[in-house]
Amino acid sequence: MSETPQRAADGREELIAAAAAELAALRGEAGGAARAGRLVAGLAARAGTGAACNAVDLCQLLLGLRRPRIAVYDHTWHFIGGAQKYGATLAEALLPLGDVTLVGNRPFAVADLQSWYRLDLGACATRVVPLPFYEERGDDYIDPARIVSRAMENPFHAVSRASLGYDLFVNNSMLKMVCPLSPRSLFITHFPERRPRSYFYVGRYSRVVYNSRYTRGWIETRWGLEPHAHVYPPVDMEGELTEKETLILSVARFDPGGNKQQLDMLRAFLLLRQTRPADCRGWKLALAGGSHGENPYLAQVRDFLRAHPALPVELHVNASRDEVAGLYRRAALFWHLCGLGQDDPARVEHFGMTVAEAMQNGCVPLVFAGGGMPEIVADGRSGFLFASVSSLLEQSARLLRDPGLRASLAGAARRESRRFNKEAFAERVRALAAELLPSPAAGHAPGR
Amino acid sequence: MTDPRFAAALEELRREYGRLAEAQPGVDAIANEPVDRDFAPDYWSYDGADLENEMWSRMSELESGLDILSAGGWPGGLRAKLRHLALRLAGPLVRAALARQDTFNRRVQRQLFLDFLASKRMRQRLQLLEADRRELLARLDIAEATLAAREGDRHE
Repeated sequence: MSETPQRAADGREELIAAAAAELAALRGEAGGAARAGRLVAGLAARAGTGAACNAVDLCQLLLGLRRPRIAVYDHTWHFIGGAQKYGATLAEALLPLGDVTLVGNRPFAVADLQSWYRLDLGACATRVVPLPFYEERGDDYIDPARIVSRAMENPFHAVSRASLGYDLFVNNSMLKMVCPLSPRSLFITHFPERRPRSYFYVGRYSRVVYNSRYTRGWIETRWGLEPHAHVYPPVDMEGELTEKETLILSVARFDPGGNKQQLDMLRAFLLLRQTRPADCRGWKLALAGGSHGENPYLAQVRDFLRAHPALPVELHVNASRDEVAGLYRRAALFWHLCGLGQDDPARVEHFGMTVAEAMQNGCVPLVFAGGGMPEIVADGRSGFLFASVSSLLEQSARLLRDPGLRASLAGAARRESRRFNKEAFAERVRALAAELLPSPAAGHAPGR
Repeated sequence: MTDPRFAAALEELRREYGRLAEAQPGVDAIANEPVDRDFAPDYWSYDGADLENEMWSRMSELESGLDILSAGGWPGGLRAKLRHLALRLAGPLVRAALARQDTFNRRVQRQLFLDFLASKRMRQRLQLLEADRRELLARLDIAEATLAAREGDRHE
């Protein structure tokens, strides 16, 4: 049997909470300051200087002496991506609850995050914690997989140390090697890509959050941990409904490894036109997605299109948000094949943010019946799930022929996708943070 | 209402223990318990993706932390001299054995690396074959449906 990590946060947190309450009770007593000093010294001797800091921090919050200090950490703030959008939206949602700092390892600009994700993060501070291990090697990308055993140093302890300065530390980075030293902490799991090895601290976080039931299952299988809270990613693409065109849309980044399977989609579209030419008359396929640097997979997609010049396909590489929003408004159908025929669970869509975006714009989704997608699409009610190319073709042909069916599924898709909107996300995140941060005692409202 | 002197005392305590924590040599010391540990992996239970991740990650570990040849750190110089003396005393026999072992280790390492690359290529090939198989099955479905439709037309 593999060894599994144990929950380590509970006992330590209880000890610190009890000490904080004891400290707070001394506020009105004569000689309270001196007794507080002795109490904190005793705690430091028993549980370490970190616990002493944590108890004082919690006590200050209990007494309403200051606003909570919250850190949201991501080592990839400088990239555009779904996980980063999750973290940035989470930071925005937490602003009413405390002073939020975005922590990264490389320089990044809040203005970029604001424009990429349409968020108001002006009140957030930023902090860069450099990781000399990666800087010295000149690595372009901070790859945590480089650290495999305790024979190697843990470069992420620089971040662990920084976490001590906050009341709530949120790790949105999927970096299991950051040990939280704050009194309360959240670990956001986008997907558990690797088994626990050296420096695995997820069990030390106050709460482990997962983005879909699919991810939850793999957290249990791969990490042997039971996560606490389910928070779907925020999806905020809802636009005004306009007349739909005969357009099938796919929005997914052009992953250099072909993870999003746009080539399979092109082949399927070709087959659809060859076998159902009458149904397909006037229909086009649009592939939109981001691409970074030299991309061999995108080159294959372009080669395919060159080899089939008559195939009506629009390619939108690195389209702006407005351009993508326009495509969602125009498209009647939405295809997403990610995961079809894959045996690696990491290559299956863990949630599928673009599927929910498409539904918010009244596109009927036809998506692979795996990963997190069955949680978004109700088969036959708000779209269709398929497990094979032939089933995709059959369901697509049905929809191409029947505008009435398209309209009814599109309406349901739009309604049902609202549960993933930004407001629902923010509400869930704030409830989770409020559970963890102590409320100030009556008469001690925190000031800015 | 909290006495401002009590609030100031708390602030001072926080600063003091913050400084003490910062001065600690490691995270274990700040937490006052060993937080670092290795998890014993059960490779037999790993699936293909897990194994590939593990092999790829461990590649960078092969030579990491094996400071065999340098004489760094105090009393590195003394250690190096003693080692040289021991080698001189033990004579060519030990040197030859170490050289053989070194050659063998390098060969094994290269062999394992080639094995890993070969299995990676096989996996890629398998994925391509899987994609082809899916497409062929889809074509077969369509051909069968077309034949059935033609058959239906003929009967009508």
